[in-house]
Amino acid sequence: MKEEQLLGRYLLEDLSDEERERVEESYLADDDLYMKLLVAEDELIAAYVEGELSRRDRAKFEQAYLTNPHRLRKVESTRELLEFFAEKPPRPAPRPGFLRSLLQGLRGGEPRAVYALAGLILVVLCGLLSWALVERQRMRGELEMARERLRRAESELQHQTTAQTPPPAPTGGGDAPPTASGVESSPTPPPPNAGGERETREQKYPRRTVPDGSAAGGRAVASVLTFTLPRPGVRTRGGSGRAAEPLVIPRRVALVRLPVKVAANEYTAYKVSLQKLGGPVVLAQTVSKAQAGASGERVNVELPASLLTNGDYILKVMGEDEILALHQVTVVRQNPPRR
Amino acid sequence: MTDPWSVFGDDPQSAGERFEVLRRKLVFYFEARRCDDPEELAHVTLEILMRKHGEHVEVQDLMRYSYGVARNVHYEHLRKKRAEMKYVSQQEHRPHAGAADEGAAARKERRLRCLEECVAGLSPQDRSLLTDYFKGRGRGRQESRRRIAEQLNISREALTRRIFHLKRRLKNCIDKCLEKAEAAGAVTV
Repeated sequence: MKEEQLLGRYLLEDLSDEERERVEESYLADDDLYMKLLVAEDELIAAYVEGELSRRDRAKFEQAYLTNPHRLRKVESTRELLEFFAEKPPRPAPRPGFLRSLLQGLRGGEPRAVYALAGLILVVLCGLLSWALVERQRMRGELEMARERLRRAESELQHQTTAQTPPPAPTGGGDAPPTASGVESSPTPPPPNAGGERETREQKYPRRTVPDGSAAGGRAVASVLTFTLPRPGVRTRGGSGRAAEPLVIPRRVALVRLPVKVAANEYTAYKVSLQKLGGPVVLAQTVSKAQAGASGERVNVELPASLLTNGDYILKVMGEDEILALHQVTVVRQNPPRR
Repeated sequence: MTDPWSVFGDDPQSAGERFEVLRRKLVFYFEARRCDDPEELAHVTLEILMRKHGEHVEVQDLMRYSYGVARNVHYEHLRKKRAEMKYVSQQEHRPHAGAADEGAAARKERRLRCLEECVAGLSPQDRSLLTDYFKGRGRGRQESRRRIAEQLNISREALTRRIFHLKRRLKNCIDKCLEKAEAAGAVTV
């Protein structure tokens, strides 16, 4: 007989006297067997209370347990306990989280899970797109503001340049000799409080005055330095188009502007290049339209002062395949940039 | 004279534990033998053991010796009971049926309250384990218990033992709760 069966029969008093005494002697000596016996009794009582015993075993049980007050108390305790837990509603299974249920659904190939995942991806993509659009808008706004600031600075510069531009030299119809200076002094500031305008930077921060003809490059407006080159039509052949005076660039100048005079509206776009004599091209740009000025059309060549070092440069302005202006300029840096 | 307690071992702590284990086994034995007062008979058995040891009676195998003593105590008890039953059957006063019912109902109510209190004192895991273990009927319940064992990654037998220990803990808690109530005079036995 298996041990579990033997213990069950012992509890139901369904063993011979000899077998019974052997079992009793065994569990008194063996703690493990004693524990098994207790568990077996617990299960037997529960089985009786739940009506799971056979008729024969039920009769034996009632004879062994219901006639003894201590054992009867055990039966009553078990019945109370089972009734107590049987009355409780079944514990709902904990709901898995959204991601877990989604993964489970995907593993199981559920269409709902697939749609849910697709929906999730769509939401994420829409979120990213919205963010990108907002960011783009913001950056556009900042760019516009920066452009606006630049436009204001340019128009201020233009205004000051116009006020300071020397009268054009008398023309003989053809080539005109370059101006003595080759350099236009930087625009002087407008008369104080002219037209109620605000104080210019030059009024606020006056710099040294340089008369016309000076090779010093004139005043700097902010960090932009403008040099005026001779009129169009001046072509060099064999280097004779060298400007008489060098372009002196002070240390603090960040941008150098070289307005080159061209014929009015001759071309829609102009190619400009600046090459160091015997060296590399430091600037190659396309200017879409000539700027109108009091003294005619100009192509504004702008480049960072850091590109220019001491030495000779060739400045070329072309319209399609025609050279419109060719200048050789000498650049002098007051404090040349470190290379 | 030898210290009677030393029959259970020289170390006092382990002697006390062995005493308690033996006492419970003896109680179980006398219950299985349908004795009315198994606690008392177990106590008597242990007293005899300790006395014999104190009188230098050599006890080589304590458990085997205890069983022998317990059997004798049982036989003595049966003999007395047979003699008493003749007398008791003539003299016994049956309690009033109504009064017994009232007492039983109050006790039951008290037990139920203690049970609720003790179940509430269990950890949420233990509580839910008991709830899940006892739900369902017949084959469904067996299947449910098999699943519980799988979830806990233990054998079916280990689950049965775990439930047994939980129930015993509840039983001890309920007994203490009832003792408190009796001490407070809430229940008259």
